[in-house]
Amino acid sequence: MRRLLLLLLIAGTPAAGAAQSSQFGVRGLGLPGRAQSVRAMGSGGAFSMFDGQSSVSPASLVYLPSMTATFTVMSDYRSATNPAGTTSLRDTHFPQFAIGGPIPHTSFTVGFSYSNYTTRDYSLVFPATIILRDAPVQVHDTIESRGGINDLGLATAYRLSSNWAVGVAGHIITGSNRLDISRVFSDSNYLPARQRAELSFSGFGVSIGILGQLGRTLTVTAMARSDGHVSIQEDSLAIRGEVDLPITVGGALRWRPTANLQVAGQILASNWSTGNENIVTAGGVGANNTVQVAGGLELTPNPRRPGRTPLRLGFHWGKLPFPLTRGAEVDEYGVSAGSGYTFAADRAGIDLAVERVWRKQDEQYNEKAWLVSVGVSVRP
Amino acid sequence: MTGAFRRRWWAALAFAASLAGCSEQLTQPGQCPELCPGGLPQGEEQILTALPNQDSTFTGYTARSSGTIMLVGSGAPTLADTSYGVIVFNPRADSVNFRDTLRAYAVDSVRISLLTAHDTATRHVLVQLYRLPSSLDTNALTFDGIRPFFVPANFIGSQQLRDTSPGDTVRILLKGALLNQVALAPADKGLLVMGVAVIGDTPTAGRVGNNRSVLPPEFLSYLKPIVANPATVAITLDAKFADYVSRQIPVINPALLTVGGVPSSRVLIRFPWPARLSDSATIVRATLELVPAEPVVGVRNQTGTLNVQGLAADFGAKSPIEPSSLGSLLLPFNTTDTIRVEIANVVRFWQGGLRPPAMFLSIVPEVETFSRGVFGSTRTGAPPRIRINFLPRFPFSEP
Repeated sequence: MRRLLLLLLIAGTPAAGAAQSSQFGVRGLGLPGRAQSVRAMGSGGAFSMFDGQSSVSPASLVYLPSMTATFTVMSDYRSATNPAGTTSLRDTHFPQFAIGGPIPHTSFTVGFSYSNYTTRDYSLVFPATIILRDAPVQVHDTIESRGGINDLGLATAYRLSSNWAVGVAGHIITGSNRLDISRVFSDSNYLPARQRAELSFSGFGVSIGILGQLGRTLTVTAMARSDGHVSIQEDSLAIRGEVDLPITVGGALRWRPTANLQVAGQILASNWSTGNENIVTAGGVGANNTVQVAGGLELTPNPRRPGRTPLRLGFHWGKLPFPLTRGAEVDEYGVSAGSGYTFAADRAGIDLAVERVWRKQDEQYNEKAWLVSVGVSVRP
Repeated sequence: MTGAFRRRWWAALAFAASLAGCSEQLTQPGQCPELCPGGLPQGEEQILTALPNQDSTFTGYTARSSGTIMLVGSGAPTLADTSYGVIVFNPRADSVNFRDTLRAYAVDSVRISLLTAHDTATRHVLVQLYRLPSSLDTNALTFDGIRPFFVPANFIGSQQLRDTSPGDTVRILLKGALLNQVALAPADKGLLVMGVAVIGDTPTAGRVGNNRSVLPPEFLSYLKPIVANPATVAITLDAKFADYVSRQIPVINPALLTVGGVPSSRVLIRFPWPARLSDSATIVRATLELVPAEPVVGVRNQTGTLNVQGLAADFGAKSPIEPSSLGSLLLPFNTTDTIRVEIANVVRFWQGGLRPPAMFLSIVPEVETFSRGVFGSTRTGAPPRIRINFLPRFPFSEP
């Protein structure tokens, strides 16, 4: 019965491939994803570089005890405000899938992951009055976008010793973005107009990570990732644009003072501004460098069964790379809580995370969102 | 796992499944330019003028003999116009079969029925019937040839049409002395030949169903066989000929564009088609503008529809029509204003090279309406033109 329910859950997962929608994902390449499992999200992402089910650092794969597959569903309940008004929004996505595990009789662990790199999911309406044939005509424009850029990662980690491990991953950056504009007129002499396009993205990146245990309670890790650039093609047109993608570096620290408690902190920095010139040349607003900071803890009632009803708490703060106006900065911060439960001799588990996220640019643009994530992990 | 735990986790799974199935609501009001990558769609306008000498009138598509009505009027559609209908009924035999025997008969009464439609803007419209000679040569009918018969001496009868009713069935019953007007002498060989006129308080016209209409003219005779204790025998005769003659037959001016009339004229117009409209632009409105060279001919409340249809392929006057491309307009009566027909559904076919940028103009129902338009052409300095509003390709890849 449990397997059946899990299958139903997986089958019912929408096929959307984005992490979360935001009005701060309208410009540039969209809203960056976090490549985290639900387990990491529950503690603000602070443990994501120590979590084999997340795709932030390839070295973290060594934490997978056996072959593990993880599926993530995220629902986003959002209130977005801009000068045109405030709207309640909601959507559901499938931001992260990962499968991986150790290769028996070796020190290697391999993993494959699908993560959201950036999301461009939005639907904006613009009522206006324009002059046509010397007469005012009311029009209603809608600009819709679905899709974004995805990150298909193939990673391997190697345990150098009982305390140290390294990892390397190759990332195929792919995906598509379906765009649709429509205009309807109040004057029935004008026919409704609709134009569509599909942007295809392709690129390649690499990442490395190192992870070490310093003493009995302290673990440190660091990672670096370079994504080169992404090529953008509109439909089948021969013209192909390019946007440089950032180099990301990060580090994290985990401290385990007792068997029941672990706390962690993480920092990631990305030079998204490397794509600024490409974006501005193409008519966009621009791109800023970003820093992401997260801190959190995990309290485990039973250290022998860490997957059973742990309490996870955390926060994160960071900058978003694509502002809505030139020179502006977008802040994002959030607090989160989560838990989980494993069963079937820890061969299957469900994790739940709830995040309250605030995003803001200047006084005019802000968002408040509840992000509810459910992760299902299976160890066949 | 205990039962309580199991129930709890099943509930959690159900909650997760419900999250997964949540509906999407992503639409929010936008603010430009901040939330408009690529900006908003910018409308543009372009005016296309017909290619020089590529606009012509062609006549003879639908013959008058294909029509189902007769166009009858007095002083309409123009004051100089008068048209009379001519109906020849099938011959009535000089005896009837009664009680298994052919017998001579006396006419008790007759009823003549016609289907009509008229201009409700005119008051007291009368449909008048006149007796015409049974020897009339229907192959050589002329207006002047039959006009002398439309005199009181030949008057059969009339019926006033209801002012508010655009369509009527005229039924004129003749009895007693009135039967003399439709009496058939041996020289008539049983043929009743009848003229139809339509008059009103002001110049007007009407449409009268001919022998191809749904309700063709009918000559119903109630006969009494000459025998003891006779019963009434009814004989219904249909028209074997029904046509009309007009005082004026318009002459087509090849320098102008004439559409409508009898026999029907159509106009073929070819336009240039610029590259920027060829595929990626979205046409939101296209208006064909025609400048009348003379007031549009017609009858009030009996106007025809000006149809604009694109061609499936351009073979000149015999080009096939693209059936799903159509713009139409109820042609205004007696106007000299520019005629504007919305034809976005026609020109959209021209995009992508699917159909040639050419169109046919016609007035429907062909040969069954008084409407006729004569418009300026590229040869008279008032060429047809199309005013197009369109959205150029949106810059989707602008981030």
